[in-house]
Amino acid sequence: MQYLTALLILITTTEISAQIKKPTAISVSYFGETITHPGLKIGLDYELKSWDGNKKKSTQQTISKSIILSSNIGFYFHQDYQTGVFALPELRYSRKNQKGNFRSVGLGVGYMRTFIPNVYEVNTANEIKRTTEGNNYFLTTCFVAFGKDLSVKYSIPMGVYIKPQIMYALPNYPNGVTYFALEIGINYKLTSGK
Amino acid sequence: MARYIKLNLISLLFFFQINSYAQNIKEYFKVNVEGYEFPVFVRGNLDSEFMLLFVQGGYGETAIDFARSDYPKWKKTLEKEIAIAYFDERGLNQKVNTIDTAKITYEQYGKDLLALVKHLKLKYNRKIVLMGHSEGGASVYYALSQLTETDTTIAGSIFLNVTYTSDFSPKRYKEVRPTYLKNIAREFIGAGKDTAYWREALNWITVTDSIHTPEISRKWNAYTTSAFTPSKRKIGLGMAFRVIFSRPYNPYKYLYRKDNELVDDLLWADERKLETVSTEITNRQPVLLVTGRYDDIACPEEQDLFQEAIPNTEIRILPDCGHESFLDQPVLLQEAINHFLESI
Repeated sequence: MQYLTALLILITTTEISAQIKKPTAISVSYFGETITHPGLKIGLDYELKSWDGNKKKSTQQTISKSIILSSNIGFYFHQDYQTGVFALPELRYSRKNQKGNFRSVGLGVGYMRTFIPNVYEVNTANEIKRTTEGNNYFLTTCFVAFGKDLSVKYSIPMGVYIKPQIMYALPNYPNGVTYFALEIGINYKLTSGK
Repeated sequence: MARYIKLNLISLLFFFQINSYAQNIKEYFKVNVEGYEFPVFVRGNLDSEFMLLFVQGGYGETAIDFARSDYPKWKKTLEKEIAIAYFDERGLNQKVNTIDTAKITYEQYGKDLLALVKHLKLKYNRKIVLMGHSEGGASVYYALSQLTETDTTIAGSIFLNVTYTSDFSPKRYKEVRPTYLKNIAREFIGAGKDTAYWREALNWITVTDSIHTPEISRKWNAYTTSAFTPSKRKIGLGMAFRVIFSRPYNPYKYLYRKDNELVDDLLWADERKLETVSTEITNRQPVLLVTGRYDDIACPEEQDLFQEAIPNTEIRILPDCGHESFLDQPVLLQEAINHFLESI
């Protein structure tokens, strides 16, 4: 219960903070738990800070750096095991070169609800009845992402990315349970900018 | 050409006709027993009036993987004739926020088995036969101990390579295991195979006469394992891929093995505790005891003790067979099971 309270406060605070700013991009991705268990993730990006830096003074190549907060919702479907639905705010540090290639690293903290399929029990009248089962989890994630901003070369206001990540859900025995997920998605810019 | 096509079509129709008669089933679901969800995987032929409920051995090993990877190779043999229900015992691999350690006991595992039997009987309308392999036999034993003499909840039980004595039983080390080595040494000497080696083994065990130190245990193991080379199950790439990427639960949790280790430890502790408890079985439903002649874990020499403890038992010792009888003697094992089911 303490996990849930903390989580609700965190998500609400994050969302309110994010709403003060206008979203800079919307992302839609395939979300594959253990790669093969399919799902979908949708998120809005809010740029908190951005600045330019020189990679090497000799080449004068400019690297755009930014810190982005994104609020995401998504789900995955693992047949016979569970369907997970989650709300996951993420904070990432991203750097993009002049060719539009970017890489990011970040963390997320959120909430996941699972639904367990095909659970049955024998009731007092000796009949088999389907029951609804599921669990609440405090969800954390850490990730890296690699992608390309297509607006740099092709003037298309979007980017493509691949984002492997480790998720850790609490509680579970002995502490939590780990998942690996792979996201492959597109990021559509809502404002003109870098 | 036309004749060739016609013949092919007829054989295809014949093939589908034959297959349509078999009520093949492959189902995965969960059964809620006292708030715990047991994963159950049922596969095989529902034509038989019986269904086997298999209990995995090996302290905290998962039967779902055992079945889905077809480790015992029953998919194309035993399951062609009968449906088998596999399940993971309490505490393993499923969503477990906390493991109720007080319920990881053989007594509870016996109760769980009976609850699953009730569910399967209602769902499939088949007579349920329990089949426990190795340590899985302990759960079957404790399920039987909870039934009265005339209870027909289960149609019968099969103990596959199951020991009667526990790992903490003095009888195992002072009586059963020395006798096993003496007997196989005499057999090899009688058959004229490696006589010098087996005379040495016989002399050693006659003098020692008890497996009471780790060093003696190692020497006993060295002699007994040289008696027979068990069949090995090749682990193919497809088998590994299926278990990791298409398993019905989270592979990382299984590979992390913390819950398996806890279950293993708790059952081990329970076995020690139960060594001092007398658990009587009065239920008179038929029981088949199967083991391999060279099973150095569930020695044939202790099957008589089983027979004394459980009424209405039949013993089958499979020749040239070790602890995994389904790999060493699949045909003889299937014959033994079929014969047993026909006799019920």
